[in-house]
Amino acid sequence: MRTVILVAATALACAVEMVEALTIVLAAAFTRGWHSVRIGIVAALVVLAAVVALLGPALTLLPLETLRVVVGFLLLTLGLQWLRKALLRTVGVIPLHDEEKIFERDVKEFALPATADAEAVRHRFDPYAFTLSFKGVFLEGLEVAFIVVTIGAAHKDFPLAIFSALAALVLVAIAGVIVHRPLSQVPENTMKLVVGLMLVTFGTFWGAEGVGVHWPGSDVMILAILAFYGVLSFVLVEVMRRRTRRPLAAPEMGAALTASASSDASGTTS
Amino acid sequence: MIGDDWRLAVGAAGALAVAGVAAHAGVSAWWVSPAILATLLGLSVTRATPRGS
Repeated sequence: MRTVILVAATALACAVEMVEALTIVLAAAFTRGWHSVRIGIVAALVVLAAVVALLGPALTLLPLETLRVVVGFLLLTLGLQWLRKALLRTVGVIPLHDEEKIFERDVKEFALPATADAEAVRHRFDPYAFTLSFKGVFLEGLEVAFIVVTIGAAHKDFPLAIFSALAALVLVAIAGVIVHRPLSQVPENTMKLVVGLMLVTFGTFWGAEGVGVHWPGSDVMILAILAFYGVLSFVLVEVMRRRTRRPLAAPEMGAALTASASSDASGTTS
Repeated sequence: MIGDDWRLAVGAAGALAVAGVAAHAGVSAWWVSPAILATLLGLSVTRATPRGS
């Protein structure tokens, strides 16, 4: 059961991030050609592989209890942010990711100046296109790399964690090649919510074990924790929906909007 | 890593620390970190949600 949840968490996290990377890559290739974009993708994947190859074995050198605390804390930090953002998107406080809209915006932004020789740019090395695709794949993939490293280290099964991420990566790439458009039909927010729940669940379980807590029922508690956070998310969505419906005095509204805007502005990548 | 609300990252570290202290004091502390984390997440999302929008 634990393995199934871990594989699902890694694959879903990778799929969500790669759908976002695909939008950037397609927009760059659409405007600047595939030549430099392809080099950028390969370079980013090589750097991400190096991050996993260096960090993974380094983590396993830690004593078991310390490893659980480190992994638990990392998963909690990532998972709580994913869950928070997914909950805020569910009630509309933060707008949902619209890959089609992002693609159109990126195409406009990445477009060559009217004076440029488009055909020449498409066939020679274009540093701008390279940077766009490298940055897109690397930044979106970095969180996945951390998830692969932490889950692989904690579960003592790096090949399984890497395989799950790669399977999702290949699946998204194939879908992107077939559709040749951003994957706007993918329920990104629901997937983020599920991944957030799984990461927070494992973070809670391993982190607490690492600091000396004994879970009653051992591994069975993973399902109980998952259910607890699932119910909590449902309750929070209801509370937030009611809150957004209630009229607010002007000073309170200003404070809430400032808090919401500052959190929205600081989180642009995921 | 830290994301939009740094308090959640600090709170995660705090929740594990409190659970560790409680466990070493001989208390059955399995409920401590889920309770703290649930409270922190609730505060974080409600704080970011404007009323009556």
